[in-house]
Amino acid sequence: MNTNETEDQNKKEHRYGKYYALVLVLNASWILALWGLGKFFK
Amino acid sequence: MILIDWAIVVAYLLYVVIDGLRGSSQPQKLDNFLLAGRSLPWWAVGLSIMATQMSAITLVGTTGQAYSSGLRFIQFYFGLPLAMVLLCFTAVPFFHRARVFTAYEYLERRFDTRTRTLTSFIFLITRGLSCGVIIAAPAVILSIILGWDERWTVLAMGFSTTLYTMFGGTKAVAWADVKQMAVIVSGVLVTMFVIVHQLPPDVSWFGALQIAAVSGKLQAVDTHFDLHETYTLWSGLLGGLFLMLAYFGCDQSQVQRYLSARSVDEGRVSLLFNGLAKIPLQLMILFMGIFVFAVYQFERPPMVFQKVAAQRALAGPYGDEFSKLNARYESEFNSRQLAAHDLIKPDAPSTAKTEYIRANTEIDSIRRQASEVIQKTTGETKFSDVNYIFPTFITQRIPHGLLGWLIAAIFAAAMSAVAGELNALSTATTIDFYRRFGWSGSLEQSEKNDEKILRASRWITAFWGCVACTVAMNVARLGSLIEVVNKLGSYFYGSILGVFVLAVCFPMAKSRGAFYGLMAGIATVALVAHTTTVSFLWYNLVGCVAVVMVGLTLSLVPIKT
Repeated sequence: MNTNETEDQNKKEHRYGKYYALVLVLNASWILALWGLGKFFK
Repeated sequence: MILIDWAIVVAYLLYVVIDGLRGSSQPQKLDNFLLAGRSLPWWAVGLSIMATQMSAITLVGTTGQAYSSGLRFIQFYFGLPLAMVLLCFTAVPFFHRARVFTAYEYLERRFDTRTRTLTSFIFLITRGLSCGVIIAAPAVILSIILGWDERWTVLAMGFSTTLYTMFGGTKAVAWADVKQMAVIVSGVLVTMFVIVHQLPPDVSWFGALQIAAVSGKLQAVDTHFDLHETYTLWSGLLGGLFLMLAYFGCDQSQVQRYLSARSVDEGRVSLLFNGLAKIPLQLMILFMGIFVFAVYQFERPPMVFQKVAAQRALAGPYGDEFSKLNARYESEFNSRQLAAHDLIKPDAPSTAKTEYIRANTEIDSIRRQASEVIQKTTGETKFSDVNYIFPTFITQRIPHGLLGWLIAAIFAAAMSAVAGELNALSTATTIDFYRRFGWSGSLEQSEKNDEKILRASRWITAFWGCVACTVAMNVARLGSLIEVVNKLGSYFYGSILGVFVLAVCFPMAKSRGAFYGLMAGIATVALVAHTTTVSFLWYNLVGCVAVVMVGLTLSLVPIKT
């Protein structure tokens, strides 16, 4: 892999970082929402 | 079931098979047949990944699980999104760039032939058996709903799935999965709407949730740390993470899905799509069970949902005991129904909640005693009617037409999972054994040899289809074996993940360490499973850690030979 390809790859990984964060944040939101649902209806 | 329901089920089965077979008459190359020519868009791969994971028991059993123990099952999936993210920058680029057909092929490049062969062999045995179970479990339920002999429901699912997998290959499997997911999701959405409308006019959906909450069914997150409890926040996040890493990262039935994506990026997005959609989809199915529970607060459900077992108990030596339980059940149901009505009134009397909880606890206890009577009558060590709750409800309460659609959805869930498994079993046998050991007559890669391998791959699919149907027909009669087969899979998953972790994360790991580490991991999990009561979700973590520790030790310690 030459330098340009490595840079492209790094850019791509950086771009995907947003999606990775979105998936993880949404997962945490589901857990919190479900925990809240249990508390709300207790 | 009336004519319209039958017409929908038959039309679905015919459409899936004919659509799957379309295009199989065109000449195909090995890469096209096994990996759809690495040409599929991310959304098709993502839906195919979800369809392969969702078996009919996920659809039917999860609804029943929500009915009996509420939303807590959702915790099982809490580790999945993190697993998807981790696999996006490990397994997906590694496998794609290695241009492999199977995950195990990569292990030979990194370690040696024996490690590849052993992992592939373990996959074939465990998945071959579990494929039979995936067919058997819904076949038993569908045979009761449709009034068919179990062998016919096994054949309806097994034969039709084998046919389009055998001739259409991965491409046919993936596109069939997309359509099957459409049938499943639309069926679930419409059913949810219909179930909410089945509530009595004075009970709103919010009232239904209030009733479910009083019986503890909305307590989805359990923050206690208990290794013996299967569904807790921690077992889901940690144990679930390792299970999902093993399933999506090392199991050929899933690896093959994202290897058929157009590019590394599309493979990644397909996994992220799964990470985003899995929890909402499972929640939707669980809420369907919660609303079934709410409807059955105002309409008397059977004491035991498995009609055949209940009839046997009634006619058996403990028939009197069973009848008395039924009478008590009737009386407690009436008390609970009154209390449920009181509960949702704006000026609910203070005693309503206490009375509801008392009657509900009593009903649970009566159902447990009824199960014990059935066990005594049939001689079975375990009895559970959880998987029969949803089928009973839909056959009694769902309008015709939609009933046919839902039966088609159960078929779709079973067939999509089986197709993915058969496709992967055939690919692993063909690539890791038939081609690897030159059984095709040559080890060289040539067009002629590829043609021969492709033909063999089709026959190998047919062979695994026959194995799955044979296992299904026998397992269906021996209920307890289903659990044995399911447990068998969890013995190996974590250990195989450990070998891949060694391969990808530890450059110093050597083939000797990987091979003996794998065996040590399996032995450790077997030891933990037999000597402790630790929940099976933790086996994956135990197996993975054991393989990495033993594997690294053996790799780093010089051994004179």
